[in-house]
Amino acid sequence: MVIPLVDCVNVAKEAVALMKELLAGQPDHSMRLVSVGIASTQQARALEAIVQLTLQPPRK
Amino acid sequence: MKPLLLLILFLNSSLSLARAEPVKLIFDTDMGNDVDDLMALAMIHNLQKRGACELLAVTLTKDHPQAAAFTDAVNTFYGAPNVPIGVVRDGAAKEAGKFNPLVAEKTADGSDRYPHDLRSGADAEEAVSLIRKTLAKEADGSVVIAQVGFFTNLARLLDSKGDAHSPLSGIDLIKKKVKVLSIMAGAFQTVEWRTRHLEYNVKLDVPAAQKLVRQWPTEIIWSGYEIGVAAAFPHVVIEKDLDYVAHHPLKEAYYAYNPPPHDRPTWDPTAVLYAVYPDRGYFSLSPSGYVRVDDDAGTVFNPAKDGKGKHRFLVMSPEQTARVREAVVQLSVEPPPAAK
Repeated sequence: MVIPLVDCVNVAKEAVALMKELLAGQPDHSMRLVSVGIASTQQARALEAIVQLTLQPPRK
Repeated sequence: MKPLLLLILFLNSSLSLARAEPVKLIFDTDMGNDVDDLMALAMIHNLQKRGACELLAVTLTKDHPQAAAFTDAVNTFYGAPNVPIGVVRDGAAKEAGKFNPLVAEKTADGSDRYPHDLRSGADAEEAVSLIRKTLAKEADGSVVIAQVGFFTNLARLLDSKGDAHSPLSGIDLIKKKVKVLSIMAGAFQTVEWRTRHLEYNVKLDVPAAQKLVRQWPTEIIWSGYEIGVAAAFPHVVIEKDLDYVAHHPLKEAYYAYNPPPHDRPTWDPTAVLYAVYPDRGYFSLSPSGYVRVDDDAGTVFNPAKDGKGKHRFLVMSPEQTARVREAVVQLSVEPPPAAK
């Protein structure tokens, strides 16, 4: 399971709460945090790829 | 250590999708004239699979019988073989095109390489009739139309009269049922140092384009020529990411149209992306105003002094361009549902 974490200026408290809840429900040491600290257009592309690939439904 | 600030993008997006009603979409295309139409249709099917949109109908402005057959084959490939298809009669672009003939390819046993049951546009419903029928069945103000080909069908829709599907005139039916029209056509910003580009979708039916900009009663969002050019499709994706099936229509069509190493502009996909996700920040919008279509197919945008114009065009920052390109890539190459 991959959760994208991004440094950003505007933080939604709800997002942090969701994150904590999600982490709490996972087995110990099962999560991998990836920091995306690259140029802005590359960051935008990487984030979009993460979002789209995460939303891709399973093949039925 | 600086505080770690979190943004859970995918959760936000997932929850939003779960709540949202699918966008009711009519796709009006000149399938076969450029491979970006096919990218756009692939995107629509994958967005439909996610529940982001519902493809109500595909209507064609390319007047060749294989355009409808190829479209049906693509719909079938993506697991939606029963999407209604309407065709223009006496329209433009009567040549077959470079990739619509793929629909006639056979396998070794003589069956269709790309299965389809609509064999020819001659067997399909006329486009304006299908649009009227489709609109009449939907809730008021709910339908989004993405027009990525010529203006022929929608100009004729404006002129249509009450029929068996609805007693309303074309304009009244549009006013009642259509939420927004997302168009790929025209050019509104400098491209390659040129400020005036006579865009293909306008050139092929200038009178229809002139009629539509004058009479269309809802908001129109224009994806100009410059948008697709800026977010060109990376050809490496075509070369390497579509081999999950032996024959992929997008890969074969791309090679037939203009093979790698060519990065095809994503003109039509950008109009679809806006149509389905207008509020996701992929694009910014110009001020409101009005587009004028000149006799030579030039398009001129004039801002409305009162801010109440019905037309806007898409604008992208470099970061938005990167997002749009990646969204188009991922949504175009996603595999179809597994064969049953």
